[in-house]
This record gives sequence, C-alpha cells and structure tokens, in this order.
Amino acid sequence: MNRLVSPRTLLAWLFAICGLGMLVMLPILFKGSYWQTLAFITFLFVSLSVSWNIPGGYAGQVSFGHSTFLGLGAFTTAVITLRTGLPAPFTIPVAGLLAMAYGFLWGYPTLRLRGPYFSIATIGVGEATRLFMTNLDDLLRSIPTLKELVKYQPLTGGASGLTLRLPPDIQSYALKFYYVALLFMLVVLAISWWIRRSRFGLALFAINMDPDAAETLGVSTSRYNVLALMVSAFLVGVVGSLYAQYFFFIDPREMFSFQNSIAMVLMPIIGGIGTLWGPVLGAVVFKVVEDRLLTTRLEWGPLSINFVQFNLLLYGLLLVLIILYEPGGVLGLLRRARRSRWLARVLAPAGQKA
Amino acid sequence: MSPLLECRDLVKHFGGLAAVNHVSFQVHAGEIFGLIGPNGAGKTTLFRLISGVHAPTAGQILFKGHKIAGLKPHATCHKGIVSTHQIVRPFREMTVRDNVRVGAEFGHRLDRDRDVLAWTREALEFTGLAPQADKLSKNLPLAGHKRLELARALAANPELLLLDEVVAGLNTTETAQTMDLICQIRARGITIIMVEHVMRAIMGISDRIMVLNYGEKIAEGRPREIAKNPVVIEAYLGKQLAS
Repeated sequence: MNRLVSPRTLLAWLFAICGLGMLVMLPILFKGSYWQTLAFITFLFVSLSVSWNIPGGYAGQVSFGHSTFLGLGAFTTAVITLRTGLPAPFTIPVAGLLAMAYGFLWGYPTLRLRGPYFSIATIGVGEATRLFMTNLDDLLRSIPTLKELVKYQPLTGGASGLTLRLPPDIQSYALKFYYVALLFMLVVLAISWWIRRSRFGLALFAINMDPDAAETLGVSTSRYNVLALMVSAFLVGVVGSLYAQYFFFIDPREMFSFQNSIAMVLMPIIGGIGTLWGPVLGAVVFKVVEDRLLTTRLEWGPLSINFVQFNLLLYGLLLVLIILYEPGGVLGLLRRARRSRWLARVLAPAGQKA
Repeated sequence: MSPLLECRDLVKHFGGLAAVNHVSFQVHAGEIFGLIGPNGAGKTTLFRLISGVHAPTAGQILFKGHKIAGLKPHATCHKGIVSTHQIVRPFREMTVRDNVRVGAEFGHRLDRDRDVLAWTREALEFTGLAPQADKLSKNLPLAGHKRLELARALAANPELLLLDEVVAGLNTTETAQTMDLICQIRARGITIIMVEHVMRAIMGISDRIMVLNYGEKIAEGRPREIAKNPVVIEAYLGKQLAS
C-alpha cells in the first residue's frame, strides 16, 4: 500500500547504523583500551551464541558439546601455524571445515536421539573430546609408530597448552583483529537471518515444533538436524581460530571445557532462544555480567569476597528464573514491556494521551 | 489392473503383542478404502506401517509395485504417501500458511520448479483456510486444526492419502463438510485410505471397507455387506447381541 518505509523500520535501521558506527569508532576513541578487548571478546561470544542458536534454537537440538568445535578450530590454527609457518589467517577455513567434519562425525549418530537424550549424549562427547585432547600428546608418545609426531613439538600441549608466536606490532594487530571479529559477527548474523527465511529454516522450525509431523510431510529430520549442526560447527570453529590468533595461548583444558559449552547454551537462553536477536542480547548480558563479576571485589571489614566463585551460581539462578517466568528470555521481557499498557501510556507522546 | 498399494501378510509385534497379524489387502487407484475395527484393533498401527513410522516385523508393502516397507516417513512421503494424524499435530508457533508451506516445500514433488507459494495458496483455498492463513496455528479451533492437517497433507501432493479419524470430535455440520471435502479430494484423483469411528461417515463414503479385530483382518467388502456381516457385528457388539 504505502511505498514509503514505515517510520518504525526507519527508526530501527537508524539505531542499527548508529550502534554499528559506535562499534566501528570504539577502538579509535579508546585506543588499545580495556574496552576494546572487552568488545572484541563480546563479538566472538555473540558469534558463538548466534551460531549455537541455529541447531539449538531453530531446530531445538540443545547441544552441550559445542566447545569441541571451539577447541578444534583453535588447535587447528595453532598446530598448522606452529608446524608449517603458514600465516594464521590462511588456516581459518581449515579450522572451520575440520570443526564441521567433526560435527558430522558426532552429530550423525547422536542426532538420532531426541530432546534431553541428545543433550546428554553431547555432554559425553564434549567431555570425551576434552580428555582425549588433553592427553593426546602422552598417548602419541606411547605409540612407537606415532612417536615421531610429537618428537620436536607438542601437538595439543597437554596440560601446558600451546603458545603462538607474537607479531611485532601488537597494537595494530589487535586493532585489525577487532575489525575482523566485528565483520565476522555480522556475517554470522546475516547467515542466521538468511536461514530463518529460507526453506532450510522452515525445516528446522518444523522439526523443533513437531519432528513426527515434519517427517510425515517429507522433511528428513536427521538430514536437516545434521546440516544445522555442521553449519554451526563451522562458524564456531572459525571463532576458535580467531581466538587462538588473538590470544596467542591456548590450553586444551580450557578450550574444550564444559564451561565454554555451557556458556554457548546459556547465552541464547538468557537472550531469547530461537530468535534472531535474542542470542546477541544474551551474549552481551552474559559477557558484561561475567566481566563485572570477575573484576568486582567486596570489601567488608576484614572480609574480602571475590565474586569469581559466584559466576556459575548466578547463571544457574538466572536460568531457573528464565525458564520459570519468561522462557522468551530478555527479548521476551522486552516484548512483554512493549505490550504492557502502563508503559505504553508513559511512553506515548503527550498529545495522544486519551 | 495392478493395485496402487498392496500389503502382503503384514505382521507387527510390539514385544509379545501382535498389533497387526498377517494382514493382506489391496487398494486400487481412485478408491476410498475404509478401515474400521474396535479400539485397539491395529488400525493406527497399520497406518504407521504404511507411512513408515514403524517397520513391519514381517511381510511386504508394495506401492506402485515398489517395496516400501522399512522406509522412513519422509521417504514414503516423497514417494507420494502422506498421512494425517489422529491427534492433530500442528506446528503450533507457525502461521497456518507456513504450516501448509512445509508440506508444499518438502512433500512429494513431481517437478522441481513447482511454485511452492502458489501450491500453498491453492491448498489453503481448497480447504477453506485461506481467511485464517496468517493466524498462528495454535489459535485455531479444533475443526480448523483438522482442516489444517488435511491442507498440509494435500500441499505435500499425495497420491495416496492416509486419513486417521479426521472427523473425530467434530459436530454434525463440520463432519458433513469434511466428508464433502474428502469426496472432492478423491475427485482430484487422490486415493484415500481412512480410519474412522463415525460409522455413518465411513459407510456413506467408502467404496470398500476392511475390518480389523485384535490385529487380524476379519472382513473386507462393500459397506453394505460389511454392515450385515455377522462376524463384524459380533466383534463390535459381542456374541449375544449378534445372534
């Protein structure tokens, strides 16, 4: 009817462009600051959250094994650059593809399980992968024919991790990576947005809402589930690679940790599972809360409380509250606020008050 | 004429229970084939064997001469066998249109460039759901849900449609409308097998009827013959009343 864009969409676009502009300007305004690093790591976590949401939120396959992809991506990049001297950016696609292959490897059998059974299986996969990777060097050393592989250099570094070579100018390197991470986050968002509107997305939503009905209408549930997991695995693998390239040090116990997997489950749930923007919001809330908790210290007379220990406790509490009262997460809360009459009256322009 | 669907000596055991026991029958193209029997007779299990939800313990299912026993439901759907669910199973958070679009996108496609949106619209109009197309499907009344099951199945372009109690729970007017719709579906050349408890509905519409009891086939024939068959009456009402 009206060819002009509605004022609401225009406003949304304006907000988006302003926000993006601020993110672009941030490292120039606060050069090399703590904020830059926080923003960089938040970009990575937004990418993780949005990637997890593709199989987890759209198709409803809640995976607790996504740290396997993160770790694999990081170690692929580290091992290749350390052993061949190839520039690290070239290893990014390899990291993604390897993570994707691993996603197929464990997704194909486990996705035959449904709902909580799948989730439990992924916990097993994640833990097994972490232990395997942590002990891989020792394992290889004990096999005579494979001993040569770790003779001069460790493969995963076991308990001591791997350290990458530092670039000469770390400031400009960090700045470059800031923009790479920002760009990658936008790419992941675009992919997530595209999937929502595509045939692929329709299949995932159908599977989420009723897998049996989807099957009778011709949707191959196992095929689309595995595909969704592979797309997600690729993107998470790339994040792992970027992480390794930025922080120069990776430890298998940390990269493959259950904590990382949990973070990827929590972020979309906090923000609003299965939506486009929910995982973004969730990741930002998650990172900011985590950052505040890690740096706050409560001094109370002789008592000094460090909040690091409360980290998981708080998330647990948050999760229970969300599932009980607002399964839509932060996004659901916002929607509720928009619907509420009280708020509408407060926000309405003065002339329109009835 | 070779049958569209043929089941040979079909057996399905659940543990020690034979839910379907040595059942053989043929369904011809263009027919409405009724399937009746008391509760627990194995009607729904038989449907699930044909659509691929369960694999048969023994026996063979042939669709257009090809073996289909053991195929997954999405694979039988791609061959042209589409079923509706006894208890409606809409994609609750999707609009009615998107529900139907799932069938059009992923169902049985004869030509690859079929216009999915046109196909969806057509199925919505045919079942009279077009005015509700933009509603979330969870907001439909029961009659709407039953229609949605039909619309989705039709959008998947079936050659053989398995209808599991499509009029259960509907009032008289709605039942009559649905029966009318089923006749129109048949007029399009789609073969139908239907399970129904509402006798008036199934007797009036079926070309042939098969009766199951305790997983076994006890009778098959025209509706009129079935209604008079003493074995069938006994299965439904018990021995004393039958005599």
